[in-house]
Formats: sequence, structure tokens, C-alpha cells
Amino acid sequence: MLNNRFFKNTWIYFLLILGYVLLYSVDVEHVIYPSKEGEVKSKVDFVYQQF
Amino acid sequence: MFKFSDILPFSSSEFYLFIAFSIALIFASKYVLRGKIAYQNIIFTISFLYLILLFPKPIHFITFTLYGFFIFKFLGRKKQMGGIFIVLLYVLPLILMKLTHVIPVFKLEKSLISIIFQIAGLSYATFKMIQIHIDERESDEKISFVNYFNFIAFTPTLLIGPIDRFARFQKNINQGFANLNQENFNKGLEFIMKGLLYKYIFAYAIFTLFINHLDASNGFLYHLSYMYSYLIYLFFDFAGYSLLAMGFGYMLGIQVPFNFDKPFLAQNPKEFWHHWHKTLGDWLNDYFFKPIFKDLTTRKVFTSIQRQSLALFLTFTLMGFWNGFEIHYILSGVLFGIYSMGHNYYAYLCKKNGKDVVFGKLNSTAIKYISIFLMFNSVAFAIYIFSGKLF
Repeated sequence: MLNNRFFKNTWIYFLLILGYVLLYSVDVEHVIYPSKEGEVKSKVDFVYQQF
Repeated sequence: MFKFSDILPFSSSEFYLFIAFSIALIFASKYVLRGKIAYQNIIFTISFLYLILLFPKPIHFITFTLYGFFIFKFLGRKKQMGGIFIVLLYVLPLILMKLTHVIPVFKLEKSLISIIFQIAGLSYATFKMIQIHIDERESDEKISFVNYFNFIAFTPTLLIGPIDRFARFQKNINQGFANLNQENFNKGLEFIMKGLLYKYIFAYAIFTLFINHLDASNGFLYHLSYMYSYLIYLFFDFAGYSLLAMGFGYMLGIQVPFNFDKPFLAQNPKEFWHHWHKTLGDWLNDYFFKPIFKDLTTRKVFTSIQRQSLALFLTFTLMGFWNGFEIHYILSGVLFGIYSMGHNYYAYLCKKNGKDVVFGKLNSTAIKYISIFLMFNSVAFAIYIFSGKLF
């Protein structure tokens, strides 16, 4: 039980760090799509705003 | 450069700084001040400070809370004031706010209706006000404005829930500093990490790497790709948001209820609404479906299955209107209503005939996977309509 929780949390932290490095430090969007301007604004943020 | 206005919950680093400060403050109150200031007053101070310092239109929101409290205290208990009339009073500001999105003259930024009623978090505050009114108006326990405000304006759940219940929330308030313990702190931290992963990694990756670069010239394929990717994106973004609200709630001593739990494994609409935005599904069930069904039962016009189906359809249509008066929101609600009615009739016919009227003698594992597949695709289509991409 404790082991299971430990591995689950380790996995979450690992994915968080990996995701942060790829998406925010390396900016993988510009690596994959070098010629395109990325649209940062999230449509869902706009949807939430109206609630 | 820090910005100290118009900051919605979980929308910027300033908000996270504020919530970290709040957690430090509440723990300091427990361990340094040794509980000399009442727990409920600390929660009040945090919510009030957030509204005043960071929230857009703080005076509007506080005035709206006072408006709800006034109805609850002075109008709600009068027998001559009809239930429908009271509910209308609660939802009137919300209706006016929704109209600002569809009526051209209200849409103008400087229109009076827009200035007054365009308030973030109004929908969820209205839900909670109606809930307190229905559940607590005949309670012997007197509800003070501090307790009322704490429930309506609790910072982590202020904007989009999860929609808590007053009695459950108040139980945590009454437990006071006892809930500020290692166990809740650790649970809160786990929810926050999972929420950050969902919202800022998974949802962000789907949006920036996939949805952002879909080629609209692909016609049908574009819409199909958008339909599935938007559903997955919305799930990670919204579930991530809900997990963050839960996590910070736990750290502040409030055990905020969960909202999302593997919804894509649901086999039918009823199951889906128990796992997707659960607190909304429960709210609609308790404060809309049940009263309508009860009312239809007293009228004795329809058969039981017809009453159930009509009440389901009206409930989900209302949900569509609650999302907004735009046609895509209403249609998505109607669609969810049709799904629920369809499944209700199916369950009824299976029971009546003593056999599965659609799948016959197919084995239960196959039925399970086919049901999950059908449900997932039905939901994807309804959410695609909701997204407004089609019209």
C-alpha cells in the first residue's frame, strides 16, 4: 500500500519535471513547429471566465 | 513584475503566492498564536483578502453575497413567499449575466448590465446559495454572515467549484484547527501535484502541441481530431483545476469533495455524471431533477417512466442553459438529456422484458467494453457541440 503510493507519487513527480523541461524550458512546440506562431491563450480559460 | 488585480484562482503565479501565504498564515495561527483567533475568522480573512486584493470586481462579488444572505435571512423563511419566486430572486443576476453574452446591447463592455452583473464565479455562488436556502432555511442552527460568506467565497472553490454542501463545509469549519494536520497536508500535496500535472503538463501539451496545430483545411478529419482532442484537453484542464482546488482546500483544513474520477470508463450517462463534474451532477439531481419528478408525480399526468425521462431531459437542458444562452451550450445540454432519456428507457425495457433488449445474450465483458466505447464517443460528440466549434 505504502509502496504503491510511493511509486505513484514518484511517477507523478517524474512526469511533472519531464513535462516542465520539455514544454517550458526546451519549448518543444517551437522545436516541432519551428515556422508557426504558437497560440498561448487557452480557450478553456475563457470558458471558465464566464462562470 | 507582479500584478495585483484581476487575478482569477489558479490563473497566475500571484495567485499561487497568495494561497501559499494563506496556508502559512493558517498554520501560524494554529502553532504560533495557538488558536487565539478562531479558525472561521482566519478562513474569512483569507477569502476576504483574496477578493479585495486580487479578484476582479471584489465589491460586486461581496454585494452579491450580501444579496444572497439578505434573501436567505429575511425573505426565505416567510411562508407567503413562494419557493419558485425565491429561486428566481437568486438566479436573476445569473440570468442577466448570461444575457450579456447573447444580447448585442448587453454585450457592450460599458453597458450597465455588463458592468454590474459580469462577475466571475457568479454561477457557482448562485448554486451554493440555492443549496443553503433549500437545505438550511428550516434548520434550527443560526447561520452567521461569516459562515455564509466563508462557504460562498472560499478561495480555492470560488470560481468553478467543486460545489460543496453547506452542512459538510460547516462540519470542517466546526472542527477548526484539528483538520490542519500532517495527514490532510500530505493528501493536499498529492492532489496539488496531480492537479499541476493534469493542468500544466497534460492539458497544456495537448493544447499547444496538437489542438493549436490542427489543419482546418482537412474538413471532416479536422473536426474529428478536434472532437477527441478537445474532450481529453477539457478533462485534464478541468480535472486538474478541481484537484488543485481540493489540494489547497485540504491544506487549509477544508476537505473539498472530488469532482472527476475516471469518467471515460463510464458505461452509461448515469455513471458518467457520477464521475465527470460529480458535484454538479449531484447538485442537479438534488435540487432540480428530484423536485421536478416529485411535482410531475403529484400531477399524475404521465407514467413513471415518462416522468423520469421528462425530468431527466429538463434537468440536462437546464444544465445547457446554465452553461450559457448560446445555442451550442443549450444543444449540448439537450443532447446529454437525450442520452439520459435513451438509457433510462433502455434500462426500463430490459427490466420489463427480463433480458437485455439491445445486446441479447452477448457476454457481460463484451457488453461492458461496447458500452464504454459508445459512451465515450457520445460524450465526445456532446462536448464537441459544447465547444462551439461547429456553430
